[in-house]
Parts: sequence; structure tokens; C-alpha cells
Amino acid sequence: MNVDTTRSTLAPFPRDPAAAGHAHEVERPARPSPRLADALARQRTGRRFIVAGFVVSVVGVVLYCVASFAGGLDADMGDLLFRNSVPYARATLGIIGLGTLVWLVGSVKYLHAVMDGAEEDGAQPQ
Amino acid sequence: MGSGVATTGRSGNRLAEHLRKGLAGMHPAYFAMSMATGIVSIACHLSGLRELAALLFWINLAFYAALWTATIARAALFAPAFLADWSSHQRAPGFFTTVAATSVLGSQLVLLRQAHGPALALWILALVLWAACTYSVFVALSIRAEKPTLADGINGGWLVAVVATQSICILGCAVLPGAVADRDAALFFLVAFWLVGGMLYIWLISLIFYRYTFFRFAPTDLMPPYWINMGAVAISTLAGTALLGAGGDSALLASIRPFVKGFTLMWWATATWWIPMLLILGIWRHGVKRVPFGYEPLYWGLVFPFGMYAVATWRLVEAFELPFLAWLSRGFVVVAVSAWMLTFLGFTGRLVLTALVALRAVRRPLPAGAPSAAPLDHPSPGGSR
Repeated sequence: MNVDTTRSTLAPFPRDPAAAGHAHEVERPARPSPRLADALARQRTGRRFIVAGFVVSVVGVVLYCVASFAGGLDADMGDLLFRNSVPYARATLGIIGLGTLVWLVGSVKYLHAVMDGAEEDGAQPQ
Repeated sequence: MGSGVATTGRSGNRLAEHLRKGLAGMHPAYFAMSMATGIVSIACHLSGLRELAALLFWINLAFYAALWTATIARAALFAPAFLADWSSHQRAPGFFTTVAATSVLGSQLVLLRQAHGPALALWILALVLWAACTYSVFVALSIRAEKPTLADGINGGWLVAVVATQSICILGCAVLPGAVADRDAALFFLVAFWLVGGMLYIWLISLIFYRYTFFRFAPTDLMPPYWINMGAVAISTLAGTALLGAGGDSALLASIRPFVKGFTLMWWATATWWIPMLLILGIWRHGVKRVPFGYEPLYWGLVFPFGMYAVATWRLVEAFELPFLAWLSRGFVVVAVSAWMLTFLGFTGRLVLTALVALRAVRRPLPAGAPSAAPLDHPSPGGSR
């Protein structure tokens, strides 16, 4: 049982699980047990969270750079966060934080589901 | 109770196995993570994003220390695998990333902390590593009895040898002329490094371009380090501008100044030429041939060229007084920070995985009858990482 739990932590995710090395997704029995089906569903949800987190984080990074270039280079983080010295910079830092949080939640969800799936898959008669 | 201890032990073994496999297969090019973080930090600093630059500096310091710890542990615990890498055409050039990472950290110390003393110490360390890597890797590859074909043996990662050489020149320009009595001798030494780097680039890129155009080129062959085709000339540009800046009233530099300026501009033009080419090849690889993205340490070799191009362009703007190019540098700062963020999240995913494995080892021990070696395999096709 070879389980690739890491390949898909960089978005976007492949449609073809075999291409990503998700051997357990390929090798799963024709009729998965309820627990395995649940794990697969959680994997899909986690993957969506990861992609969304990636997109939001990168959008936040781009907006942060643009806002900083546009006005307020050399402002320190305290000024940005607490005095909002650079217009929109605080909001863009919030976007980066939100994206990272969504990504983290998605990663934990996805990896847990993959490990659950692997254990469940191993328990099933092949 | 005895059974509980046994199952916990088995789960603990699974974590140990997970970590052991990661360390055994650690790619020598993993120092690209430190290179990339360092150069993105410098790019942010130059373009005015000082807080982000400082944050990346501390992250890089942690990366650099962790990478040396892991490398030393690997050399001690998995000596055969470590030594085998020295004569591997695929992996041996990765050792040059230790040189570049050391020099980039030194440059960060100079720019962000004005710490010339520690930077000089890092320059000496980088020089020693450069000599060790250059004259062991290339000798080991030359005398190896069985060699791969050109198509299998060469890739963009080889150009890290150029990056390492030029990085010595760049950090040297920042710390050496002020630290030695004979400024001209120091500059002569650094010019020699810049020229050696240029020579290596011309040799290696000829082979790489030959491999591109005359051998079968599968989408999977276009690994992220191919972006170093561009990064190696970008760092050559930066080294040229560093020499121009460090020259001052040196008679040596004054006599070759037009040559240095001309070649610096040529390196920058070459770097710029590569960007659309590599973008199109990337679209072909991922968009047309549907090769999926997936985190691997070699992706740091893609982040580094973006940051280096931003820094090189910024310095070119300063050295040649070309303010109309400043927007290009800033654009690449944004690209570099975004690419760094994506790759960093991918890397953090690995850490999250390890944390989850550890958590399960503590909270959900394997049942007594379960096989203890249920592996959580890292993808390692062809042992490429």
C-alpha cells in the first residue's frame, strides 16, 4: 500500500489521481466501505480548500505588493497593521492571512482524509 | 498494557520511518530553498518592501541552519547515499546550492544588517565550499566509469555551478575590497570569478540547448530547475553590476570597464530572452501535456531565478541609469514573492504531514495485528529528490 499524501499540496490538483500518485484511489475496491467513501469525500473537500487558499493567498500577496508600491514604501509592520499608514495594506495582509488559514484547514483535512483512507483501504480485503 | 506499548511503538516506528526516508532521500539541491528565500528578501529590500525583507531574512536564517543540520545528519546516518550523490549526474550539481545559499545569506547580512564581519566569514565558507564542490563534483563525474547519455545526464540544475561561482563574486564585491589591503588584487580575483562563471555558462548552456533541440524532450523532462537557464545569466548580470559598483577608482576596473558593461548587458538580454521561452515551455508542459503540479524541493530552483531577475534588473537600472526598466524589476518582485509563497505553502504541507503522522502515532496507535510498516510514501520517482 503506497500512499502519496504530499504530492497534491501544491495547487492546482490533477484530475487524474494516478498521475498524482494516489495509488489508494486507484486501488480502492469497486464498492468502497462507508468509511472509505467518507474519507474520499473529505479529500475532495480538503483539496478545494487548498486550492482556494492558494488562490486567495497569492491574490493577497499581489495586492499587498501593489498597495505598498503605490504608497508607503518603508512603512514598518506596526504602522501597516495598527495605524493603517499605507492605504489598503492592512486589508491585503488580512487577505494573505485568510488565504493561509483556508489553505491550512484544507491541508489538515485533506491529509487526515488520505491517512484515514489509507488505513481503511488497508483493512479492506483486496 | 504491554500490547498498548507495543502498538504505540509500532506507530512511533512509522513516524521514525517517515522521517528516516525523508532524510535518506533528501536532495542535495535542497539549499535552493535558502537561496530562493534570500534572494526574494533582497529583492523586497531593494524595492522598498523592508518589512517583508526582514521577515524573509529571519526565515532564511532558520532555513539555512536547518538545512545544514539535515545535511550533516544525512552525511552521518546515510553516508553511502550521500557519497553516491557526489557522482550522480542528476544530483551532484545540487551540491553547488550550498555555495550559493551561503553567499546569498552573506549578501543579506550586508544589505539588511550591515554585518560585514559575519558576511566576510560566510564569503570564506562559500569559497571553501565552492572549491570543494567544483573540484570534487566535476572530477567525480569525469572519472566515473559508467555515464548516462547526454539526454539523461544533463538538466538545468547543472547551471547552479554558474550561480555558485557568480555568487562568490557578488558577495566578494560587498566584503572583500574593504577587508584587504590590496584592493586591485581583490578586484582582479573577483573579476576572474565573474569570467569563470561566464565561461561555465557558455559551456553548459550549449549542452543544455543541444539537449533541448536535438534529443527527445518529454514534458516530464522539463523540471523546475530549467528556470536556472535564466537565473544563471541573471546572476551573471548582477555580478557584473557589482563589479562596476565596487570598481571605484581601480585602474584594473577602469581598463576593462567597457568590456564589463557590455557583457553585463549581454547577460541581462540573454536572461530576458529566456523568460518567454521558459514560459511557453511551461505552458506546454502543464497546460497542453497536463503534467500536474506537485510540491517538490526542486521548485525552489524556479523561485530563485524570479527573485534574481528582479534584483539584477534593479541593479542594472542603477548601474546604467535606465529608470524606464524599474517597473520590470518591481513586476518581478511581485512574481517572485507570489512564487515563493506558493512553494512555501507546499513545503509547509510537508511539515503538516509530519506533524499529523506524529499526532497519530501518539493518539491512534496501530492495532496489534496491523502491519507496522504501513508506509506513508513520499513520491520519489527515480530518486530524484
